[in-house]
Amino acid sequence: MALRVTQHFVEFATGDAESSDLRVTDQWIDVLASGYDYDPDLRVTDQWIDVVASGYDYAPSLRITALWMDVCATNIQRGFTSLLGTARSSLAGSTLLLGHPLGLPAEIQPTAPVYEEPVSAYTGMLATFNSLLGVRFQLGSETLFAPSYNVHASDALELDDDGPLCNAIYQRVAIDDGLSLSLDDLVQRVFEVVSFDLVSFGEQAAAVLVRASYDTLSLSDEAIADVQVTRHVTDDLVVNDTDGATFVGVYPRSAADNELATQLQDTAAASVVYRRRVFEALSLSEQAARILTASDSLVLSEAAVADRILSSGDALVLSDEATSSTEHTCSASDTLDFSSAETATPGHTTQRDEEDTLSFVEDAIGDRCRVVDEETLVITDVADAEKVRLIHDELTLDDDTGATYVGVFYRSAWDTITATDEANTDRELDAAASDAIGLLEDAAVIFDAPEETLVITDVASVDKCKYAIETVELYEYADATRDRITCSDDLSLSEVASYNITRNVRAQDAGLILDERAWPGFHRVEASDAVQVEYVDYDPETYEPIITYTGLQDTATSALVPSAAREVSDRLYPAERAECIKINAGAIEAIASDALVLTEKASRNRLGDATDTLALTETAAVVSSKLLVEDLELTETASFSIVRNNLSASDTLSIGEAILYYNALEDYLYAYHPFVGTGPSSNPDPPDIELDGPIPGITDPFKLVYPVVGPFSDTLVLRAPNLGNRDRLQMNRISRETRGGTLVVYADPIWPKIQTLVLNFSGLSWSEADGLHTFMDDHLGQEVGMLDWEHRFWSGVITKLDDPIVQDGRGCQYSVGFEFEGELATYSP
Amino acid sequence: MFRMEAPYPSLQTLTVMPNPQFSDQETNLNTVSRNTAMDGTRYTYVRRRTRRKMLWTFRLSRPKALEVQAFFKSYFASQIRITDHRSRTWIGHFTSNPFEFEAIGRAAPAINPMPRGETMSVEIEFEGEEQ
Repeated sequence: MALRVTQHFVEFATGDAESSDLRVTDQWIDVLASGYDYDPDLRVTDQWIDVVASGYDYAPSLRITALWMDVCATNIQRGFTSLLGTARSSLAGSTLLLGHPLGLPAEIQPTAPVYEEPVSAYTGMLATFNSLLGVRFQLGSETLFAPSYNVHASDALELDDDGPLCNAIYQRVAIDDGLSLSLDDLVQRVFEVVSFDLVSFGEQAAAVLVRASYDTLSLSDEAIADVQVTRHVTDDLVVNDTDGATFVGVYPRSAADNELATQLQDTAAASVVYRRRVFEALSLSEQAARILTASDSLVLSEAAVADRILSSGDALVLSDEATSSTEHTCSASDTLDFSSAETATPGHTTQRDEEDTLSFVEDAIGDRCRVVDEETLVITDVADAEKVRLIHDELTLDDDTGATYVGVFYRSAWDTITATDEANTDRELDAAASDAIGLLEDAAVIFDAPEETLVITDVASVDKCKYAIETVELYEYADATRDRITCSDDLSLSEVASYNITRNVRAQDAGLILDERAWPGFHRVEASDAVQVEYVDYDPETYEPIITYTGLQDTATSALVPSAAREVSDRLYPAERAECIKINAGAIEAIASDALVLTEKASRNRLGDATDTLALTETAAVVSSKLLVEDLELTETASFSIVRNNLSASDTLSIGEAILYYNALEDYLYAYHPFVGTGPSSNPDPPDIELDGPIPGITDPFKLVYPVVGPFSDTLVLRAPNLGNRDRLQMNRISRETRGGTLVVYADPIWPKIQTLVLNFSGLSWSEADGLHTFMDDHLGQEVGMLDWEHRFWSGVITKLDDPIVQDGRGCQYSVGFEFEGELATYSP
Repeated sequence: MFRMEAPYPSLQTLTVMPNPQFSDQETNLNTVSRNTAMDGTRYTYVRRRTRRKMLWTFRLSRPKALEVQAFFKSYFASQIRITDHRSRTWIGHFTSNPFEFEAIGRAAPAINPMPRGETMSVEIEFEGEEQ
């Protein structure tokens, strides 16, 4: 047996023959030699020996045996006694706190004889945890002893400043404890707070895991809780931060704690999940991130972001730039209010049962909303509601300023408005649904008139239902009151009501009312209208469908004006077309208005699923105009009158806005045209209104400087570069062609955009040409500044250095060139 | 007159340009592959594309070139609507990369305080479908 035997081992082993089977190392022998009463039945490993020999630093991965605890206790007691001995004079009159409510092995109870001094004579703390002991003494600003800490009950643990306890391990803080971490303390392990605890994190403290019950948890300043906060009952969580603190936590709660409020304020960001079960009040402000709530009151203000909200019985208020991007599930008596927000964005899906109120004011954007039963949706000003699905909803867009347009405005092409509204259900349930859609279009045209086409397609189908009513009303008005204008207005309406069930079904479709008028201000007018209604009835014996077509109902009025030379026609067809052809440019003011109101209603007496989607795209084009005003008003109502079983309803309203025009005056065609227009927020950023012009006060024709921000330590003045310079834009993008041949082009906004100037100089003196090479040598690869020949300032690097100096003739006839890659910058000498 | 509007369909920026120079190009992108069987039968395989590839060269004043340059920077990857000098409307994308502006000569002084006058030349490659 190749044991490594030392003198100490021999001295020990002679008293116990069985210990020779152990693997003996110097460290183990040192332990034995220190006076430990060796028990040969215990398993002693290298790890254990390492732990014992290195002091009492707790390593959780070690296998802790009773032997190790014995040794640990012995050594701690010994070390503590020694510590007291060295600090005895300073500890006089202080208090020593002991605590071990969870129980300790009997052999390591901190009894009085261990310390050889009265317990009340010292300041500091001795804490026990399972098999680990720790002690700390704070004598003034000096910490005498700082092992690992595990605190049980009735302990007060404080970490201040930059003391050596910063990296201590806090395993458990038990009942009635107060734990305070402040300043630069970093606790990088685990906090487990059992009950009735007060945990406070100050400034840059970081706690990875905090679990509490009946706790008050306060995070302030730049405190970071990286993982979880688990709170059970009657919690009060307050997070205050004015400096960008980040809070990440999970809050499951199990019982009522209605009187307490949880608040995240300022720029705090809770980027993971908050779960609250009952009767909690949760307030998130600014950049708070995710919330999962039940029966909560949730307030989001300013830039708060709530990615996911599951709630019941909630009051949800989003204001300012609040963004709620996922789901709202509410059971009853909810109020969802978006008010006085500049760019408020309630995110994706809102599901609410009844008696809800949803309002968007100003720039509020509601991407998706699902509302069930008796809801009111109001969108005013420039609000955009991209997708709104409602049943028994009322949707109103009001524009009091006259400066807001929904649709696309330009002057040179046709104007097309398409409204498609579809409501479908395929379930045979007791349900009723009604949907009212109102479109009001008003376009004023001066000078040239566009061709405008309005297409409305309305399809309501109920596959399995015993009764359905659909009423569509269209009102169209076209008026051209001035001379030399031809106006035609075609309105086409096709309405079909069909029923697919072959038993005991009766369909009635008689609610088609057309009112069409045309007032030509002159000349002859022709109008025709064609409407066909299809009735479907069933044979009571065979249940075979019997289709009956009721002929055309056409009401058209034509007025004949003397000296008819032009023609105005107004017909009612499955499409609307208003054309105003002009035409004496600049001379005649003409006004054309086109108002279209569409109201749709679908009712069922059985409960079922209904989906109603209304998509509007409106475009008015005027080639040349002095005034262009277009108003679009939408009214949509959908409701369930009977709710017995599972019911789901969705309603989507997509509205996009874009305005575009250009001034067609000849002088402007050759000048820089300030880009004027607006579009949806999803569009790329438009070009700047103004270009970067020359910097005043610059007289040098061309200058290279270093550094970019002054004062410049190196400058080189050259003559302006030769004509033929190139300005190269290299933008990264990807192009793919689909299997069907569609070309798809994509570019991420963060992908680099490189602008390169290729410049050549001639007629330089030798000192100028040589100076350019010297400048490039001195600042090779460094960012330099360049005042170009237009006195614009660029910052970048010279990328092509191998252009030679060529002497083209006698005297100052040197030529040289280089390439410069950079971007426009602020000139600050 | 030549117009470029972007992004399509929610247009927000329009720039008007002079007609392109002669030697503009319009390329059919359809392809045909011909094969012959052992018995001499000739087979053709075609790929149809409704797109056309256009190549236009413009001579622009310096301010207009800066305007077009800003247009490229914003919409180089967006869907563009172009009304060409034959009043045809195209919907498609720019395929030029890089966009290179060359100062080919002097021009009349520009309007103050805009940069001084030069004549710029730029070539635009565009693939799109005629509407």
